Amino acid sequence: MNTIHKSSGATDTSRREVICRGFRSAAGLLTADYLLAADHLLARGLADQTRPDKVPGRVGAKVKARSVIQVFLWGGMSYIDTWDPKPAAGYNYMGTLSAVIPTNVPGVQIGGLFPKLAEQADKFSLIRGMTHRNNGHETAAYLMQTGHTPGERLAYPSVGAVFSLFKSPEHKGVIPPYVVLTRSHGRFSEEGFLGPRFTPPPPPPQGVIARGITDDRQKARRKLLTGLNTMGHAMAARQELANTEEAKKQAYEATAAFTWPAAGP
Amino acid sequence: MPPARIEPQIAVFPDGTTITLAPNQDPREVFADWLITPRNPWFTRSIVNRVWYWLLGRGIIHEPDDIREDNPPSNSELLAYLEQELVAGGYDLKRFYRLIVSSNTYQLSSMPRFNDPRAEANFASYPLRRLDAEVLIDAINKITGTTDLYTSPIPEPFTYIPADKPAIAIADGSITSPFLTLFGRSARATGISDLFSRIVAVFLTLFGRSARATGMENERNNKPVPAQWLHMLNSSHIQRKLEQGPGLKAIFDSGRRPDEIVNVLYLTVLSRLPTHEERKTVAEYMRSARPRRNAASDIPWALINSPEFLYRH
Repeated sequence: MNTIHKSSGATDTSRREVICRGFRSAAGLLTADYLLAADHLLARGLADQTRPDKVPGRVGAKVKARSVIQVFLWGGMSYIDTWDPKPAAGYNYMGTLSAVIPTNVPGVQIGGLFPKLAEQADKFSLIRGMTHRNNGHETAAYLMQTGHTPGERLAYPSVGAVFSLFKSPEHKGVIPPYVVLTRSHGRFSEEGFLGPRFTPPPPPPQGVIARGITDDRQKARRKLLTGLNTMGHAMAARQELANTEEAKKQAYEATAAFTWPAAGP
Repeated sequence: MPPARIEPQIAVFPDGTTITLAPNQDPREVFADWLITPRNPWFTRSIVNRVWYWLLGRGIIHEPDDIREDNPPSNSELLAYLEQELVAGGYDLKRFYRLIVSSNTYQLSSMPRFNDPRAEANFASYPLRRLDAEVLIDAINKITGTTDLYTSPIPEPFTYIPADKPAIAIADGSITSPFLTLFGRSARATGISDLFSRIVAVFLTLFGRSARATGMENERNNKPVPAQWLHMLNSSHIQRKLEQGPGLKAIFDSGRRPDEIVNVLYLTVLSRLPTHEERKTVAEYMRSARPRRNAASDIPWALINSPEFLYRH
């Protein structure tokens, strides 16, 4: 699997990098579970494609989806340039991207931009018979994610939250049945009227590594924080503060796996 | 085509009474008037309990979403008194808030006085509560002199909340993405990549802001989780505010003596002067920090990460 999540940002670190650098050791930490879950889901999704029962020639073998990855493009590529070209409609309709290529499934053609995907058309399904006649990004996205037109009295749950509702009873493990990467999409990825039990957890936080903060400085300022925690010391017995101190300890355990080299020359 | 004749509409209130709405009548106004009549006991009880919950961290009926016959209030005399007061004051919420915040109960210290299990339900001391997501980021922005840009994709065209508008003033629950701005300019205008914007897109969600999909109080989640600490302690979102915020720069570059700088900083972040011990700890950090400018962000970093700042107390 490629390191496709590798980010070039100056301020964060890819999930893969986090895992390679030993984040797994922070067992039980929700954030870590979350990061692992992300890679696990992706890895599993790719692995499924190479499973013997998915290879052509074994059509009819029982295949059951164990997880679903929904990639939602907020106003993605035009369907006529990609998955559903209309070559017979001519240039006025197709424009410059009018080339189509046959796929390894007889009778199915896709846009000429996808020669590699054309070789694997037996491994995916295309739905070409659906439209919603709604040309606003937000209203259409709401319709697609919830199955309801906006403006009804209730805020409806997204499809993932509905999945969570039905799968929660049989679901085991600390990772919720429904997670959203790489950031929340507000109403389009939320639980609506189902309530907070079905809220997808927030996407992975930043801050596992504080870029530019050396290990020595990290230690020094943590000591400073303890030294200045006057109220916290005075009220150490309060359960509210004990809970937050525990969460802070776990956060620091997550960062402890990392050291940032001393400031360069 | 002549405009269709608008017929008067029959509407039914939740208590079963019906009313005829004239075509020029806004049904929301009619409903609001019905809501605040003394013969509607449900609203009075619910709003009294909620205001108390907002101010004192726990409803007289606990949880505030769970008002029913067999979930009695912890203090029914208190609840009845507050209901009477709200009705007597003509549902003036400002007057009602004043009544509560000027009470001895509200003004109790947060230092626990009793070890009795019944203390919490009887409001024996002021409860500790983490600042709500919006209040927290607004307070950090106020101290550092920075802003965040909030946007909503609903409805199109995308909404950009003006930079001088705080997070607590955002009316729309769908606005959940604070994109980073440096000092009022948009991320794009300052040349910061979209990638960087996305990194800080989660603050309000991370700290439990309600999506307002329902009217339930429990949609807001103020439970402390490690990811919140990672953001507060280590994120570049907060670190940048501390290093580059003009608010802090003004304090540290003011030409004041170091001990006066520490006084101003404490007054700005914690609204009090430092204790003798704290003064010594800070002075020692200022002496030993290398490079020295680190102290100018590390000391406010420690103060905004203290429970005294993060918690209402």
